[in-house]
Amino acid sequence: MAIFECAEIKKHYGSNFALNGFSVKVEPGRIVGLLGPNGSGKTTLMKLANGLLTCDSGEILINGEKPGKNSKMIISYLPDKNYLPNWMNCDKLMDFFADFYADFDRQRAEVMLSGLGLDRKQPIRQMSKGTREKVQLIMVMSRRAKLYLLDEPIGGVDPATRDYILETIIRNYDTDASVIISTHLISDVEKILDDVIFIDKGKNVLFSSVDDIRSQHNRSVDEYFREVFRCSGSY
Amino acid sequence: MFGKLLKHEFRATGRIMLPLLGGVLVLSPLAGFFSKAVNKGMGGSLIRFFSFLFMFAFVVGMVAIFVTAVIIMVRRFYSNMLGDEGYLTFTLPVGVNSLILSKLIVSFVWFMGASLIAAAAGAIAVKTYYSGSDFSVAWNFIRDCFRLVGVGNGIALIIEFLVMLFLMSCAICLHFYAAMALGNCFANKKIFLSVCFFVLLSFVMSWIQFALLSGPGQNNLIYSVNRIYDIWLNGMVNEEAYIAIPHTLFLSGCVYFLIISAIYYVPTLLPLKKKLNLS
Repeated sequence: MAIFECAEIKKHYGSNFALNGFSVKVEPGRIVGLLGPNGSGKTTLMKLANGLLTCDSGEILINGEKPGKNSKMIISYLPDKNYLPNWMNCDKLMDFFADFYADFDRQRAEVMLSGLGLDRKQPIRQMSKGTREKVQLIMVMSRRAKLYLLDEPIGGVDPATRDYILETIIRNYDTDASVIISTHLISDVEKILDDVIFIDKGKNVLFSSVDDIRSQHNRSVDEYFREVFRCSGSY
Repeated sequence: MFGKLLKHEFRATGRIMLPLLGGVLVLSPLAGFFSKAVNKGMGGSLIRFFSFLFMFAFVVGMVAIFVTAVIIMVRRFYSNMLGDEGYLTFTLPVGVNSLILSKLIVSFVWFMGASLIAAAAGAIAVKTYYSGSDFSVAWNFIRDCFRLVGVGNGIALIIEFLVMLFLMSCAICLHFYAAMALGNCFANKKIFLSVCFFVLLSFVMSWIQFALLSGPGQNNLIYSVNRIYDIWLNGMVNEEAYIAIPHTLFLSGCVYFLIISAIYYVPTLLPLKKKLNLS
């Protein structure tokens, strides 16, 4: 059974269609890049999968079920913004995650946090932006989830932090779980991807393995993406 | 899971409320003591300064615990459900009803806590000021009330009163929650629209309350309450008749605030379930 399945999903904001008949099936155990230009529908898709939005039509299934309490138990979601309560520190955060998620591995989180050299009593509000993003990622990747949805995990951070984030993802996700990473920084994330989805104007333009793209088009995913989404216009 | 929601709600709000409540309790004997010292002509300008300082802080504290409880109720809902924290809250494996109910319960606890602490702090300040003050009159009054109505009825009345207070607290909170949930449905000017919805809901509710309480002829709550009271009184021996009054009052209050809360609950729940707009 596919861990993540979308069938002709449509979602509009006013007169704009964020998703316009989007369909895809992601099997367990795959790291998938959700790649598309700004405004293509990546974040909307992630929100729909997490039950933060409801689709206008179509169906979205997580492990065969519609988004709800059961799907939230198996999805570990990293949104593209700082969503942690500012007044909490790392210890309180771990208490929070441990209380609500049976799959939260506290020991794993403690090891990763100690690697950052953080004072676990320091409130989130006193941390730098990059450190907050790392803490968020650690909490998300410390869950033994079946599906990880990471929305722009490496946007807005320095290259060294990007490498840290990608390494954390690779080292800590369960190999029978799936990871969907939305990003437009393709060259950085390409090395860890199994499959890619190209999304444009709310539609699935391409769903292929990275190996197939390289062998069939003789290009890296980044190069092929630039070719597919080349902006027309004069300079 | 609901217990864990309550635990973390108390953690998030208690870090502000508990020090404030504790501070008012600490200030109360100091305010009483220094006021008494000034009244008895003890010490000089320093004592008068401390008397003013502690009395001022005590009065401000007494107001602050109620104002803060309301601000926390509003702020907690807005930031935890409709702000960026909403990405964490709404991805928890709990239902939206549980999220709302946990906030209602915690808000009620802090409203009650503020009231009880204010009463206790006032009693401590008075006791400190008037060393010979005796609260046995109050205790004797309560004891006599229990003797009059019976322990069973007394406990039932307390429970009814607390339930009525809880439902009243829910109605107040849900009025704010509904306004914020509706205002958040829009892309822009969310806070401004939330205020507009608050005013609109107040206006609509005042009409509903008017209809409920004083509709024409027999179609109003006051008539129904009087009828219930009359029916209850019929067949009662005289000594038990007085028990019907508070029971009728509290139970009618429970029904009234339950209706108001239910009316506010719908425009709170539906936007959160169907039109959540966290961006």
